[in-house]
Amino acid sequence: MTPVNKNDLLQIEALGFSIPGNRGGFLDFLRQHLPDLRLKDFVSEIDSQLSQLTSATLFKELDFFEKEPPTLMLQYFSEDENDEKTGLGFARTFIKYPSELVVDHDFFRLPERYRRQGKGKALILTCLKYYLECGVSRVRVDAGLENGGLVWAKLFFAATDKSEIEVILEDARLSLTTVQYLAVKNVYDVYYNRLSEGRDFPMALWSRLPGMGTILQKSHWHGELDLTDQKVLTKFNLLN
Amino acid sequence: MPDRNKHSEAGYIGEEFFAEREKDRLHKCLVVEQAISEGYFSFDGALAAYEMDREEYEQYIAKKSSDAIFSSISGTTFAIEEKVSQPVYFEIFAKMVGNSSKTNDIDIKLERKLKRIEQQLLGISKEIGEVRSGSKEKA
Repeated sequence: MTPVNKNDLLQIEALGFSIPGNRGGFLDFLRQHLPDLRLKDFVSEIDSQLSQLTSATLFKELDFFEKEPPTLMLQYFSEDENDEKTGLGFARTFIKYPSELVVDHDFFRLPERYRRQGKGKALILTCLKYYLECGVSRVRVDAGLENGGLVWAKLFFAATDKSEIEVILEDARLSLTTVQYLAVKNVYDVYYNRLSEGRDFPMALWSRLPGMGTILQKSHWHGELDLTDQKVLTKFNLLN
Repeated sequence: MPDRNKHSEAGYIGEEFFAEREKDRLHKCLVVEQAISEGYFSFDGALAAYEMDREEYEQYIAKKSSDAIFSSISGTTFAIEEKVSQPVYFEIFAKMVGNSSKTNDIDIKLERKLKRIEQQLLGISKEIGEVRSGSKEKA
């Protein structure tokens, strides 16, 4: 992998991204903590896919923080990004822990007129391509915005917080028929009997159980996608 | 600037993965397969819990098996007709492969590859047979 260089940063700035501090410091940061991230190509692809989706003024920012754990933030948003109908927002954070590289999917909103046309899916797949290339092991998401509780479950994100799972389980107990609830409880029991403090509860198994769609749509939980799990990647490929 | 304490990834982004009906059905099959293979439900228990049509699941397994075979043979995958996704097809093919590996004019390297394919075919045949016998028991 060719290390990122000053020319790359100039091209990134030419796309309209602001780069913090001095270029030398940013180059050192990237070379030390994210040596396999092709940042110029990554932001170019994001820009080419998103810039045409709004006529509002765009803000494109890169930020980095040396303090442990070293962090790179990418934010791309329109001036009306808080508008649920017209706003565009995209934010990702790369976090370099001592033993692994993790990406937080902080935010992604598309203007209403461009939803459900495959544009979001295309950008997620673009991101995954770069994540795998630069050694990201996990993608984290806060599942809850606009049906996200169901959708990220279906996309094989695993839930990390048992207490959040138990809130959903209780909702299922109150809402579902006995037969439906027993199936939901069975998945919970099997998983936590194996791993009482497990942090990768298979939400996908809940997502297709009868009655759970409605419950998960309004749920809120923290999830992770394990990019080191070949089975998960195979499923993603099949759904692509 | 986005307020990260309030926002997260919008669900409609992920919904695009399931926009096509075929993809949604495939997803359900993937989930049922996971539930069975990881021991959350028995085969019949999973079909019941997920209200999964047995025939549809069998077709999924057969298609998956076919793809695996042709991928191992040709390095690629392609769709094949359902009528060849039957246990007997794989058994016949396995025997053909097995017989050919016994001929003298095939070099050792190819023989090993054919042996692996034969074993794979027999395994898939057995898997499909088990699924089908499960159907009969239920009936």
